[in-house]
Amino acid sequence: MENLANITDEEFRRIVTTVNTLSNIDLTILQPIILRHRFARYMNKHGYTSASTIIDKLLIDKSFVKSFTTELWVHTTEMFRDTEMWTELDTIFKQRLSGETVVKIWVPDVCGDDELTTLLVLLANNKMIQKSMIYATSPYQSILDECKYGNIEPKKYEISDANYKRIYPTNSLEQYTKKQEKTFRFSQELLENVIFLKQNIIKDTPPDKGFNLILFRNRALYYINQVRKNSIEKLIQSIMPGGYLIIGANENLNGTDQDGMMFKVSKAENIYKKKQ
Amino acid sequence: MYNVVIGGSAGSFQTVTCILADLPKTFPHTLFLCLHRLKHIRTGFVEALKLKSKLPIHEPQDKETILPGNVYLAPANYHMYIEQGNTISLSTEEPVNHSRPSIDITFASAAQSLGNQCVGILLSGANKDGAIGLKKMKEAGATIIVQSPDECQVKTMTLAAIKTTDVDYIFTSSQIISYLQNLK
Repeated sequence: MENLANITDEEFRRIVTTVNTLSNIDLTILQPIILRHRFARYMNKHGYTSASTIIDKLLIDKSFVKSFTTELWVHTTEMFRDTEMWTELDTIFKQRLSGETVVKIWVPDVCGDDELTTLLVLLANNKMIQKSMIYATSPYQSILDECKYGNIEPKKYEISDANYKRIYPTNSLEQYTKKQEKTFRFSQELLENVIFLKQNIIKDTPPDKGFNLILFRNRALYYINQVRKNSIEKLIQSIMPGGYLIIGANENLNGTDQDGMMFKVSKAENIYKKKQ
Repeated sequence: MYNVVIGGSAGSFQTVTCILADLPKTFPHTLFLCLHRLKHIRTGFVEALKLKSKLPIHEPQDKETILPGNVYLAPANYHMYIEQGNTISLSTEEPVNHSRPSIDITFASAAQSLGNQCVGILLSGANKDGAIGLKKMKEAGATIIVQSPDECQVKTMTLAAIKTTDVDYIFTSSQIISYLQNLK
């Protein structure tokens, strides 16, 4: 770790307040200790020596607010993270969802396209892309644009392909990617049934209802508990009876699901199904 | 009541096992373990540590409340932060020092959230993870202990910490155990 910049409590509060005043983006919904680390990381990465310089720049350069806050969002770092979960989802696709006429899926708070592209590869392997309607949402247009492009860095590609081969030993991501000059790019056919929407999971209504599957893994980690609860409640309401909600390996539904609608269908993975 | 945060990598497993085996069931403090581990293997590690530990040990869920006398092991492929308000936060942010969990992250969060009510211990390891975090803990008033490099299977990590920070103690594993047994 670089010797991360120290940010005082006062500076921390000032950044949060300034961003909120200038842009209406409420950073108090984010888990404070991680947000503080994101600030420090941003300062190191971009060569800021003090938090006051960030505050000054926020005040004089309106476009800076957007780029600054977008970088605070945590991107996913590899495809097929937790291969066991994807193996179980593969089974659910084969045994439960492949028979549906239309499969409605929502990936809220998409950030970096790894989770989305992993899902798409799995759907493609099960020949389910054409029957799927997939919503990928984020409060940031720049993040959606990045996902639409489907770019993947060589290092990430290598890790992702190794993960993929743990599930499908004879397959390779080459099947779904094209090598560019310095990166790899996912086939646009994979993305053709994805609807990219600017949407804030906290403030806005869901993009649709009656979802067969919602993939919300490791995104609520970054919210304070009350926001986590409200977001997951909203997701549960958007799932159709018999539909699935998947959260991260070390997350839970504590404090949500007041009506007891969800039950776990996997011993080891956090895959929940809504009662019929 | 103290919070003891232990970081380790290659060669630290045996020392951690010895520490856990020798701490009494009545150990009143909270123990956090941030140990480098294989990211794809989610099971087996905590079970192996449980074999000799008299203290309850588990991998925390995100936003779990911290309870005294418990041992919290950073889960595979997650960073573990200690949050103000006595909870644990997990994160999938990019690896730090090629590591997730990163010892620096856990140590730095302990410095931020726990200040001087804390003991930081760094054990054997093959990279420099932990050195900066330990420095931050020291600056926050925590007591800093580094395992004696002569005793470490791999001494890169402890040497980096000693070079970076004015550590309070350089202890062998039996001295670390004795220190913790007498921590009041």
